[in-house]
Amino acid sequence: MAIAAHDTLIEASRVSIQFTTAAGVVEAVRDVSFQVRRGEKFVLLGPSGCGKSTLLKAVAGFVRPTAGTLLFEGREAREPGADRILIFQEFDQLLPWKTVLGNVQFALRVAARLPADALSQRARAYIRLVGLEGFERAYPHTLSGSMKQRVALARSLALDPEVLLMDEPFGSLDALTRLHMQNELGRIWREHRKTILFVTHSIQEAILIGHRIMVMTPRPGRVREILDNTAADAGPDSPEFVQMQGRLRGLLGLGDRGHEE
Amino acid sequence: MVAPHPSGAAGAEPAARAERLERPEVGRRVPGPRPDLWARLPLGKVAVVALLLAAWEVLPAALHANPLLFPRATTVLRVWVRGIESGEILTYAERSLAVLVLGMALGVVGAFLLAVLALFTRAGRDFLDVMTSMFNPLPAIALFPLALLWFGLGIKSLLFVLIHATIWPMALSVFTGFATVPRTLVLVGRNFGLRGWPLAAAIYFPAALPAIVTGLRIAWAFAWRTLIAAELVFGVIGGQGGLGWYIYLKRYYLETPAVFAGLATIVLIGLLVEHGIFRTIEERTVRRWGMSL
Ligand SMILES: Nc1ncnc2c1ncn2[C@@H]1O[C@H](COP(=O)(O)OP(=O)(O)OP(=O)(O)O)[C@@H](O)[C@H]1O
Ligand SMILES: [Mg+2]
Repeated sequence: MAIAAHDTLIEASRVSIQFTTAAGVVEAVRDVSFQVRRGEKFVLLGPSGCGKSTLLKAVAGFVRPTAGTLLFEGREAREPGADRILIFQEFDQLLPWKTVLGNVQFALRVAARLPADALSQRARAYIRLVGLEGFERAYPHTLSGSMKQRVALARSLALDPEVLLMDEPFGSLDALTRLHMQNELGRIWREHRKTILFVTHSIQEAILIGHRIMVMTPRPGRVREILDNTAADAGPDSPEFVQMQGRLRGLLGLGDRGHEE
Repeated sequence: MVAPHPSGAAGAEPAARAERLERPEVGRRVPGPRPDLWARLPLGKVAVVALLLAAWEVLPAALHANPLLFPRATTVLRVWVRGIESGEILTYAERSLAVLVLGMALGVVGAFLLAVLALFTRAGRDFLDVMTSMFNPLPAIALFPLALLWFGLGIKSLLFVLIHATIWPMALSVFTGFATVPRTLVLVGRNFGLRGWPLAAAIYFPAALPAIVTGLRIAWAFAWRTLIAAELVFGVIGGQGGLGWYIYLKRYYLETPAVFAGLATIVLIGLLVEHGIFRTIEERTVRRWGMSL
């Protein structure tokens, strides 16, 4: 097998996605092409409604492209599977009737079919990884928003998927907690080198997280540009970071002094 | 207790610090000990019951009421204890409950079938909608004369009205419960590779449980009232009457204290089911999970 083929995990070629509703046809994304390499953090950045979530759901196998091809490991992603795990923005993605440990174990039991003792050990290890040791027996409704997102992260990582599909996972957190979670994600990525496809509409977050950033146009979402990003290592106050910010603002049509939501 | 945030010691990572501080407290609270049973006893309500009983004890004499029509509380209590000891009341109660459980079980099974039909087909949804709105204002007991015409004086007629009392509220609750399962949870289940029955059992059913429990509760209340009314008004059913029939008989023989004892038994069973069964189920599930409706 060629090395190049091995390196590409997700390959979208001229993907268009339309929804047919009672009100008519909505074109979410048009003619989108990009490739996500194994082990990288790839960020989708674009204004609200440009089809970022739709693209993520297409990779996850919940939505079929109307045109074009979307390949995952060289095959079309027609069905959802535990090799591509979605993490949502909403805090309601944990099963409320299961504890923190129960949630992680549930995923492992269903998707990985591990024996019971291995299951519990693995689940605890990942709960520790996201810093929630001591909360194994807590029910989700007793946790804060960021703790819930950590559980979702632990549950997803425990399954050892090929890619994490993160749909604004920190979008509902306050600025401080959000920054903390972004750092945590960085730490976890350095430990596990998991491929991450990350959706955001925050420029700052895109720069902090992405190895590469794909900027999308307003609906119907098209690719404006795909940028390499190394500004994260330089830090948010570095000239490199500020310059990247300016570039992304320009691409999003916000102007130099545009505000972020 | 550790004093939070020692002043002047601002950390480099405030968010991390805050979470580290809150950890042991939350961790301890969750599996914490259950509040003492005595402490949970509603003293105010106990006092009200005691007052009512005291009033009942003195009122008949104060009103110079005929003890045949309005016996004192202690008389009723004595008759009730005797009825329990001799097994008479329990036998009647058992008959009532046996019919009730059978009728409710049939109604609940039917309700699930109707709800599933309504979930998957447009016609099923319309049917459920029309039937529930049509029968909502009609007490199930009103159908009993018709049932007697069709099925005769027997258990079939009772089951007919019990199913009728149960199936509509239950079907509506089950339908609502399944129809309002959060989309995200369904996506999560499918993402893990679940589909079909495993998906229904692992995601839809527990997510709909609060609504299902509420439906059962309403169904029970309807069914219990309907059954007692049917037994009371229409007398013995197939030679094996329940509590309603017991009261009917005792009235006929003018054993008024026993009539009261029958009524008290009906109330007690109602309270027992409500608190012993439904509250317990709720506390162990919906409340513990923070899923109250
Ligand atoms: N299931 C659906 N049925 C019909 N239209 C849909 C559906 N899902 C998404 N859309 C439409 O597709 C467009 C893109 O939606 P999408 O959720 O992908 O946007 P987004 O980029 O994630 O936006 P946001 O940043 O606000 O989350 C929107 O106009 C939306 O209304
Ligand atoms: Mg979105």
